[in-house]
Formats: sequence, C-alpha cells, structure tokens
Amino acid sequence: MNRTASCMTDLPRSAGMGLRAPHHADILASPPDVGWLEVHSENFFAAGGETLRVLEAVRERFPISLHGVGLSLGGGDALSDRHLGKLKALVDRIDPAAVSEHLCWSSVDGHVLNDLLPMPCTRAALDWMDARVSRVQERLGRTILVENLSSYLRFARAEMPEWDFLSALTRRTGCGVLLDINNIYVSACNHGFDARDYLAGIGVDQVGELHLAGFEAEDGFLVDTHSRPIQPPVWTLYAEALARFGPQPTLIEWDHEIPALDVLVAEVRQAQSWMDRCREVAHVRAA
Amino acid sequence: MSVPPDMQTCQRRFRDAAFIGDDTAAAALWPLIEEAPAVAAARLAVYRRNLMGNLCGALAATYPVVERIVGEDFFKATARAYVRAHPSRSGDLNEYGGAFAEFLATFPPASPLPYLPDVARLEWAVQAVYYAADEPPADLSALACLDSGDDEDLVFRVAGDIARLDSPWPLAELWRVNQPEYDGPLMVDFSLPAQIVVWRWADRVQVEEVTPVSAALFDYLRSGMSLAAAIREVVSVIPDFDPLPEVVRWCHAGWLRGAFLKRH
Amino acid sequence: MQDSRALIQATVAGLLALGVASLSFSAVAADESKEKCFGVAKAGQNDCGSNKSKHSCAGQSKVDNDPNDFKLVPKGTCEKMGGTHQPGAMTDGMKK
Repeated sequence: MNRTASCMTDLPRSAGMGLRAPHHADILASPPDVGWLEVHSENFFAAGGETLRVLEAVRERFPISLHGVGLSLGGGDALSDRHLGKLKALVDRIDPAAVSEHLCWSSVDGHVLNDLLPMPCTRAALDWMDARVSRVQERLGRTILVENLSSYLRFARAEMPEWDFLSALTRRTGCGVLLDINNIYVSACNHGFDARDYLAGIGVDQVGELHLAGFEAEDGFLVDTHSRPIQPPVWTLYAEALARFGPQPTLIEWDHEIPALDVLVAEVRQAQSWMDRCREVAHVRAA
Repeated sequence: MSVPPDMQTCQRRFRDAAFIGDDTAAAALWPLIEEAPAVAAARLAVYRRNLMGNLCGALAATYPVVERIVGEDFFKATARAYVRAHPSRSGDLNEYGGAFAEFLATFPPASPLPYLPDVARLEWAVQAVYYAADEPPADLSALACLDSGDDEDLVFRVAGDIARLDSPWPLAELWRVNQPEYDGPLMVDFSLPAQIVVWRWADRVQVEEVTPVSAALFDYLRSGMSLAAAIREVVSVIPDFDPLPEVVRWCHAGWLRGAFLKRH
Repeated sequence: MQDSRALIQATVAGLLALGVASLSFSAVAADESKEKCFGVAKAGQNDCGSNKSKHSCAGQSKVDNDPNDFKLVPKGTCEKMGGTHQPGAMTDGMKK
C-alpha cells in the first residue's frame, strides 16, 4: 500500500481523525490505528501546562496537522501579530506535518466574530487574501493549506466562482488546498451549484488534504454541524474526489455530540477503505 | 495595500446583521446577498447562533462553577447578555470572558447571589494558572550556602503559575462543592471569608484555602520582600506565628521556586 | 512577643535542617505525582480543564438554542447552598 507523504504536506496518504479533548486520555492510553491526527491550533495556544503536554505526547506517536480557525485570513483588519506569534510558537514546538486555515474572514473593525464567514469572491478580495496568505507563510516559514467553507449565504456580485478564487489563491501564493468534501456538498445544496464543478475547478496538483464530516438538514438547506456520521452522498462525492486527486490525506471531523472513540475510528476505517479501493482502481487502469 | 472597500462593506454589513441582528441591520445586508431576503433570513440565523453559540460555549467552558451555581438556563441568558455587551477582541477563545466577573457584579438578575462575581474571578484565575507557562525546576540551593548574617538578605522567587485571591465569601468551599465529582452535601457557611491560592501541581490546578496570616506572608514574599522583613511584618500583627512549617510546605509544593541573597 | 531576630534565624536554620535546599523538582512531573497531591487541606483540583476545548470549525446545530431570557432566575446549586446572603465581615487582620 502506498503510504508515502502527500506532496503538499508531510502527512501520510492515509485517513486520520480530529483529536478532541474527550478522547485525549483514551488516545494516549491505547493509540488507535489511524494514520494521523489533526487539532485546532487555537486549542493549544497555552504558554504551558497540560494541553501542550498532551499534544507533545500524541506527537510522539502520530503525525500532527495544525488546523487554525482564528486567523481571519480574509478579514479587513490587520493580521493579529499576537495570534500569528502564538501560531508560530506552536508550529516551532510541534513541527507539524501540515498547517492549515480557512478561506474566510472573522474580524472587522476590531470586532472578532469567532466564526468562519464567507468571502465575497471578487478580484480585489483575492488580491487582499493573496497578500495575507503570503505574509502568514513568510512568518511561519512554510506553506499552508487553505480550506473551503460550508456557507449559508453568498455575497452578490461575485466575479468568479469560489473554486476559481481558491484555485487562483493557490497558484499565486503557493499554498495548497484543503478540500472539504462535506463543505462542497453542503454549499452546493445551499447555493444550487454542481459539486462536481467545484472538484473540476481545483487543479489535480493543488490539493494537499481532504476533510469529511457530517451535516444536519434544516428547513430547505444544510448546516455543517460535524455532529454525526458522514452521509452517503458525501461518501460518493469523496470517491469522485479520490478519482480526480488521487489518495490524499483524509480527515474525519466530529466536533459536536462527540461519539465514543471506536465510532470515530470506524469512520476513519471507512475513509481508508475508500482510499484503498481508489488505489486498486488506479492500479488496474495502469495495468 | 489598503482594504478593498467593497469587501469591507460586505464584512461590516454582515457583522451588523449577524451580531446586532435587528431588522435595519438585516435590511442593509440583503442588497449585498445573492439569496432572496425571504430565504436569507433563515440562513442568517445560522450565523447568528454560531456567533452566539461559540462565545457562550467559551464562557461555559471557562465558568463551569458559575454555571452550576445558577443553572444552565440562567447561565445561557446571562452569557448572551455578556456577549452583547462585550464583543470578542481575539481569535483565541481562551482569551474571551475576562470581564465576566465585573459584568456579573452589575447584572441585576444576578444580584441575589452577591458571591457570584468572586466565583467568576476564581474561575478566570483557575484558567490562567492552567494555561500558564511551565516553571523551570525549583532551585533552592542558595539556602545551602548561607553564611551567618545572611539570614536578613534571603529572598525567594515565587512561581509564576500561581494566583492569589481574597474574598469575603467562602470561595474555596463554593468551588469545591460545585465540582462535577463532588457528591457530598451542599452545605456552605456563607459567613466565612477566604484567602485563596490557585496553583498547579503536575499540570492539575489546585484551589487551596490558606489562613489570613499565611496569605499575608506569602504576599510579602511574592512582592519581593526578604524573608526576614516579611516575617517581621507578620509577627508584628500575629506575635506567636511560626512561619517555618508554611515556608517548608511552600518549598515542597513549588510555590517558592528559587532562593537568592539580596545585598543592600 | 517573640524576638523576631531569633525567629528569623530559627526559620532559616529550620529550612536547612529540613533539607529544603536540595529540593529540585519540576512540578511537571510524572503521573504518579498526580495521585499524591500533598494531602492538601481544603483543596480541590481541576480535572476537567482539558475536557472542553473551545475552538472548532463546525456550525452550531439548531437544538440547544435560544433560552428564554425572561426566565432570569438562578436555578442551580445556589438554592441548595442556601440562596442569598450578605458577605461576611473581612476578619483578615493582616490586610492594610
């Protein structure tokens, strides 16, 4: 089985899972058979203490991906030096296999909204994000991955579809794409575009990581709650993504109503079996 | 590079609609949004509950004892009022909620529980200690090299991962009986004031009550006063106080982590 | 009133006699020390510090939302603990 690292990150090309606080002890006591773990960077911004001890212990056994939620890459406010400094310190301390953030904004006029909010897809906003992503990569001394959101509202007067925005950002800054398959599915349903257009709009060599999670349906639209198993249409879209991008490091995310560790590990196994199947197909085709 | 004005307008109107949330703010957002207003209102509600939910969740994670004391519904309503009054200024949610104690002190529905602001102060200190920088190993070796006459100049370095609080309320007891694992009676004698030391041992936060005289001695040492001067201050008020057992315990507990001689 | 000079000398001598000078440990420590906890009187320890993380990139679900703000009456352990009280007088003679 090919488990060599992805070209955009040092993550193995296998399935991993989000490390969440209720599982810290279990994972240290009996490490599950998963390829790698991802954490939310900001949960480990402490100067010292138990959280960092846990992460360092976990780091001994698993490649770690640091996934940020608070940098406001697309925000109009100046990038926070403090935030970036804390991220840099964490990156230096953990030496992660990947560092990622979101195609979003979360702060305006000094008011931080602590949520991932959609960007207006304009050329000016792209220029703006280009400069910000470049600054972050310079400061961290490494490339990052940028992830697409689930969105419920879209700004009007878009000058390009979101996939073109993300793809151009990647071309211009050298960052990679963290493609969230569930987010594509949720946004496609909410905004009425074809999820396959999104996949086709991202270059095959631009993707460094994939995300999978569960959504919930509300009246007439979908909400990305990370509170349940991955839904069948998202697995189907995942298979299409694997066919296009090859086996990429894939993360199972579960943030609310967090289940027992073995339930989560079973989801990871399922993603792994999709990846393995994708490799067999590629092998047969090549033969 | 300056902020693209159109982008900034989008973000400002979105913030107003999602955070302030009144009809005027929403009406100002709709022309900038692809979805028709009839559809968009329900979509905007998702963002509004995310903003509120994330910040209220952060408060609940920082202030579990306050939540236990007032109950979930009251806490949520209080947290929502706090979020409206104190917008977040940081992308790190662990920095959110520092003014909660102050807010509770002036929040009329909380006035029947006048001890609540101090409980919140304690929980903020617990979090600060939990996340504080790691201390280097204790080094008290200077004690072994004292000459006669050095007694007057001995100064201790107090650990940085310690917080001190004084309250007219039995704060340690309030905290203790509201821990999830506590299953004893909920009897608290509210007439007892408390001096508290919040400290960390093997990464776990300890909330410990100390006597007034111990608290005073510790505060003097923490301010950089020599042991001799601190003892003089304390025994001038409590003449028969014996500092030795306290100081020994503080060395063992890692509260006093360094010793050196301060020459005049 | 005891002679403070003598008390200071006795305290420093006591520290030496009790071997405090050779203490050298880091309060980071191994798991076993978590059990000890020093037999602290009236102390509690915060085990749940790491059981809740604040950040995630997920949306909130619809349930668990919008408590009724008009029901602003505390209804937790406060009732069992004895409800409302006036603060005790500060008996701390050391505070200046």
